Order: sequence, then C-alpha cells, then structure tokens
Amino acid sequence: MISRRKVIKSAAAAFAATPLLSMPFVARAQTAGRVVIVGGGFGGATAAKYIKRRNPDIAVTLVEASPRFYTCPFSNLYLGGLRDFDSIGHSFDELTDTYGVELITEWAEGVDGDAHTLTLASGETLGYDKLLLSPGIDMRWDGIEGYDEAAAELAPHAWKAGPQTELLRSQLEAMDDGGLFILSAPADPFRCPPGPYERVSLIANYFKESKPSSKILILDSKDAFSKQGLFQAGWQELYGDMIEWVSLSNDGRVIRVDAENLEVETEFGEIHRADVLNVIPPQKAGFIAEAAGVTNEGGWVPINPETFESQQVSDIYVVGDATIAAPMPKSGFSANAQGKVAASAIVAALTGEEAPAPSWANTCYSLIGPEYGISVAGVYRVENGEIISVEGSGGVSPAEADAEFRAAEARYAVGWYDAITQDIWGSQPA
Amino acid sequence: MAILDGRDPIAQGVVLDLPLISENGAVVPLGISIDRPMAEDEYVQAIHVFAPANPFPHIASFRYPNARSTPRLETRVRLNESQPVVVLAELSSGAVLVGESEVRVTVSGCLTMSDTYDTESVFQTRVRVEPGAPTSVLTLINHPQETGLRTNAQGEIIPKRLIEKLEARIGDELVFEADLHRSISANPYLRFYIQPDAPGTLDLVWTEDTGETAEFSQDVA
Amino acid sequence: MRALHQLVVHSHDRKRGDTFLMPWDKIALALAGALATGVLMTGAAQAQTDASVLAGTCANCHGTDGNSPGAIPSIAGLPFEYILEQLLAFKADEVPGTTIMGRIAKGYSDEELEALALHFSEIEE
Repeated sequence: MISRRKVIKSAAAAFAATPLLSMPFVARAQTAGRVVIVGGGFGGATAAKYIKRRNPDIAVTLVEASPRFYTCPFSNLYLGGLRDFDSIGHSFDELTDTYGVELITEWAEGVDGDAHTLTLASGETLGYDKLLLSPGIDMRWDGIEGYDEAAAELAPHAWKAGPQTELLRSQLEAMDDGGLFILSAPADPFRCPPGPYERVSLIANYFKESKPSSKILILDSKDAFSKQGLFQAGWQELYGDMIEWVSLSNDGRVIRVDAENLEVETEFGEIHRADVLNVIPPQKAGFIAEAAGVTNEGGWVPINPETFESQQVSDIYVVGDATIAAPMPKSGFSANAQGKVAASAIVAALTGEEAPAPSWANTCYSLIGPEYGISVAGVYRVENGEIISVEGSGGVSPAEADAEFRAAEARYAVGWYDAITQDIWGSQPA
Repeated sequence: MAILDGRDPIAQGVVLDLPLISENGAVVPLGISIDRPMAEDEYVQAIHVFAPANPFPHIASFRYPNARSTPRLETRVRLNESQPVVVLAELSSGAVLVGESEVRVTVSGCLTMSDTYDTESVFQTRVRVEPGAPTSVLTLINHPQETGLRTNAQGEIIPKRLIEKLEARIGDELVFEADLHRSISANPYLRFYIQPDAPGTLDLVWTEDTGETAEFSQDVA
Repeated sequence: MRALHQLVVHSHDRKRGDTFLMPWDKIALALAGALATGVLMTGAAQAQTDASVLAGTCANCHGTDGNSPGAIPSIAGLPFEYILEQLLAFKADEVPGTTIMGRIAKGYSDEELEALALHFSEIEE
C-alpha cells in the first residue's frame, strides 16, 4: 500500500508519459460527483486544483469571466513601476491541461440553490452537486456620495486588478512633479487590510525617483491600520515627510467625491484637491454571492468555519474575501488556504467521509520599498464553532530590525508571490 | 436597574445601527434612532446605552430636556468582547423602550494600544453644523478617553482620564446633554440633532473628569 | 513510543482505514530526531487533522508540495529529522536571522510539526 500522495503522483506521471494527456478529460469516467466553481482567483482556482489532486474522478468546472486572472497582490508593484502588468496575469492552462478542469470563460449570472443549478450569462445552465463561489468583492457604489462607476473612470479605485489598475498607473505617470496623490482608504472590513499602505509606499518610491517634489495624502476612515507602526517607521526612513496619514479622528473620513474636479470632502467639511485621486470605497461580497442568497444584511457571506459551506444555502461553499472569516483577513493567502480546506470538505462530502479538521495560516507581506519588506502572520483553527487565532502564534515583523532583515523580507515577499502563483495557477516566476 | 425603576421596558421602536461583526472593538460605530408613534405631548427624554460584557457596562446616557427633541444619534463605542449592545429610551410619558443588537468582536478593543490620539492637540474640537429640519450637529474632541484599565509599555496603569459630559445650549436653554463613560471610544464622537425654535447661538461645552472644559460656539438659524 | 506510533498512522490516510506498510526507515529517523530533541516526552495528544490539510497552507510560500519556484526554500524531500529539528528550533526562536517562521511554527503543536516534517520528507523533490 502506498500513500495517497504517491498515488496521485504516479497517476500524474502516467499521464505525462502517455498520449492520455491530450485526451479530453471528460472522456474519463467521472462518477464521483460534479463541482462547479465560480471565480478563478486565489480561492476558486486553488479549490479547483486541490479537489482534483484529492480526487481526480470528481468533475470540476471553473466559471471565470476573464481568460487571464490579474492579481491584486503585487499590483502595487506595477503601480510603483517595479513590474510590468503582464507579470501579474495568470492563465488557467495548468488547471485545464494538467488537472482536467473544465474552463468556461463567461460570467455567472444566477444560482438556484434548490435546483442545484448555476446560470451563465449566455443563458446556459450548469447542474452541480456542490457549488463553490470565490466571488471576491464588489464596490458599494452607494458607499460614498458622488463615487459611482462613472466617477471611478476619473478617480480609479484600482481595487480589482485590471483596467482600473492600468488607469491609475497612467495617471501617476502623467502627473507633474510636485503633484498631490490622494488615497481614500475605507473602514474595515475590506479587501487586503495592508494594501492601501503598501500602495502609497510603492507610489512614494516611484515619486522619490521620478517626481521627488510630489506629496501623498492618505485620508482614512480608520483610526488604526494593519502593520501601522512598521509602515509609519518605514515611510519616515525611506520617504521623509512625503506621506501624510490623516486618521478617522483627525477628520480623515471622505464622505463626498467630486471626481470631475478630483476633490474630496471629509466628514467635518474639509475639501482636498488631488492631482491623482484614488478612492477605495466600501465593499461587499461579489454579486454572484448575493444572487445565490448566501450574503447577510451586511453584504458578506456567513460560512460554517469547519468547511466554508454557506450557513444559509446548503451545498454552496464560499471562500475568500466575500466571506466572514475574521480574524482571518481578506487576503489572497487566506483565500488560498480556505480554498484548500473547502476542497477537502467537498471531496469528503462527495465520497461520504467526514471532513478533516481545518487549519489555516495567513502571511501578508508588504513592501515599503523594493528592498524593505514587512510581514504579518497568523495561524488559525476552529474552536467552539468560531475561527480563532492560535494563541502565541503570528504577529508582525519586529519594530527593531536591521536593513538586512527588511531586505530578506522583501526577497521573501517576491518568493511568496512566485510560490503562491505557482501553487494556484502553475505560473513560473516572472 | 435604577433607570427602569420597576417599569417594564417595551421591546419596540429602538432602531440600532451596528455592524454584525467588528474587527476593531476600540472603535465600533453605533447609530440610534427611535421610531415609534408618540402621543401628542410625548417625547424621548433620555437614551441609555449599555455593553453588558464590558468591565463598565454603562456606555453613555443622552438627555433631551425639552419636547423639541430629535432622538437620533451617532457615536463610536468600545466593545471589549462579542456581546449585545442594549439601548433604553425613556419617554416623557413614563414608558421605557428597549432595543438590542448583537455585535461579534474578533479583536478585543478596550485593553489594546490601538486607540490613537494626538497628544499635542488634546481638547481640540471639530464641529460641523448642518442646518435643516432638524439641524445636525457633528462633534469630535481629541481626547484619549483613558479607561484607567490599561497599562503602558512599562506595565504601569495609565490613569483614568475621561470626557464625562457634553452639553449643548441655545442661548441659555439646555437642548441636549450627554454623559459619556469609559466605553466611549477615544476622541469622543457624537452626532446629534437639534430643532432651534428661533435663531440663536449654539454653545457646546465638553467637561473632563478633572473639571477642565473645552468650548465651541456657532450661530444657528 | 506511543506518540510516535500515532504520528505515523496519522500522517497517512487514517480515514481510509488502511493498515499500510510502516515506513520503518522514517520511524528510525523519527526516533533519532525525537530522542535528540525530546519531543516524545511532550505528550501523546493526537493530531486533530490530516497532515495534508496542515501542509496545504505551507504550499502558499514553499510551493505546491513544498517545491518552491523562487526565493523561499524548497522543503520537499528533505530528511524528516532535519525538517523537524528546524521547525522545533523555529518554534523555540533558536534560528538566528529567522524572519517569519518563528511566528508561524508557534501556531502548531510539536506533534503537528512532526506530522508536517514526515509529510514533506515523503515527497519527491
């Protein structure tokens, strides 16, 4: 008898060695169940791969609107001019060619939980035994007065990697030296808690090199943010007084946006005018979650933490930013870890076994400069039906650390991106 | 409970706007309004807010001395752990309304160092008056609102230091009064509503437990 | 010895009820490592979950199956004893220059770290 892992390995080796690889996987007998996954990002693509790794006989269909997935992680490096846009895009070739996942490049439009069907934009319906949604986020266009989809074409959010990210980069490139970049950061919960602060860091790095008289203003709807002490010390060290952070209690909350004039108004009536304006609005679970009836009144998805199955609709699993999984953050790392746990739970359910006890970790690296990295880590378990952070574990990088330590974390940040994009999409380092 | 004084509260009419889940228990936004048909001369006299699982459960009380009150508020509170926030509203008729809303807190707020305030500008106030029917008064005072329950890096208790009261007067008439306790977030933030019956000057006075005060005045129509 | 036995059983697919061939070479290594670090004395708590579930989260930084494509070291196929010693040393803050592994290793019991070490030691590079 050999271990499960070895079974999978030799199966993969057999395929690699024979013409079977080129045969469509649907030709195989797939009687172990049918899983449909919506969303090819950090949660969904991971789940697709890990379901197939655990049980290749389960039919897996991935529904994703884009032929390539662009990652929010490392999009800040692109904004700072440290990477090209193509390097943060990933294809689904490994999933389809190596793992036999069926890919449908289309929007999912509706879910009928009772009938166990998913409807596509084309009108086609897919039946499922288990549905896994990894819908990411949508912007709350009613969250800030004046900030709607049209306004985002003038003052981008760039909080989903894609055309918005490219728009913001082109605006930064076009800005004159001496200009003011304003970023409006949302209240919790939102996608990628350290993201806005890494973004201003890498834009500061770009300004320092190309437009050194420029300034950055962060208007925040929070009084505290992720890795705050480390970010602020790093800003001081690398960029002097280029970056100013205005907290909630110092009137940092933006309540109105005039995108035509690149002006924002804060709670107590201050008007700030930007040369480049980046508004990151409040968010909610991606629309397919709401269409499936799995969101709560707050717009996010309550899940059963052992399996990430919806609390509201059975046989629908939801992972990633859309879920209420705090204290796990809304991060790509979390989505990947959740995708694996949901994959184990789905495979167990389809084969009539008990789901293994879950375990997750999260690591968020942030770059303050190209050679200045910081991190926060956490290890998570389920206790009394709730996700908890394992006591004594996790935490942020030390406040007192030398340049070598920061440089090592910057290298590991890149190493992390290379590893996780390989783990999910089979990508090779750029 | 002394506030109830033997009365049975009616579970009706208290509308709470609270997040289902809070990732920072040090700053939890709380909105309160009272939505209930009132008798001719009936009005809300006081609103009391409690966090039963906090070390000091009484968060705040808000009083409306006259019938021209608009019982609608926004503030920010500290929740030490997951719990329901309980709000009582006392009506001039003697009736008491009650409402509650459960908040799940994932990171304990009260005893961490995540409160931020600017030590150089303690007592600096911000006020935004937006005329209308009713007139909105948005206020914030820069203050640590120290609970006396937390320690500094050396392990010493940081002494209690609280903004305990905010009073609003138009002319000499008290139109709104807030008693603030330890579970009000740092930099006490409060939006309330007034209905002046004639143009006058709105005077706001915040009082610290040391007796020190901060003041603000603005003409209102 | 009881803890070690459980560890080996749990590192495989106990749900399938397989009574597989014990990897005796691994046991010998485990025993040597365990005696060196004293982990066998730390209690006989059962691992609560599959090693493969625990290991899923490692792939995030170390690559699928621990085969890293980038700057973070690969861990696939390293000797069981070495991985375990490293993990325990990370947990005890005894590895100079560590950035993040100390913070992560503290989230796992010694038994879980053993299960992880065995899991990755069994994977081919």
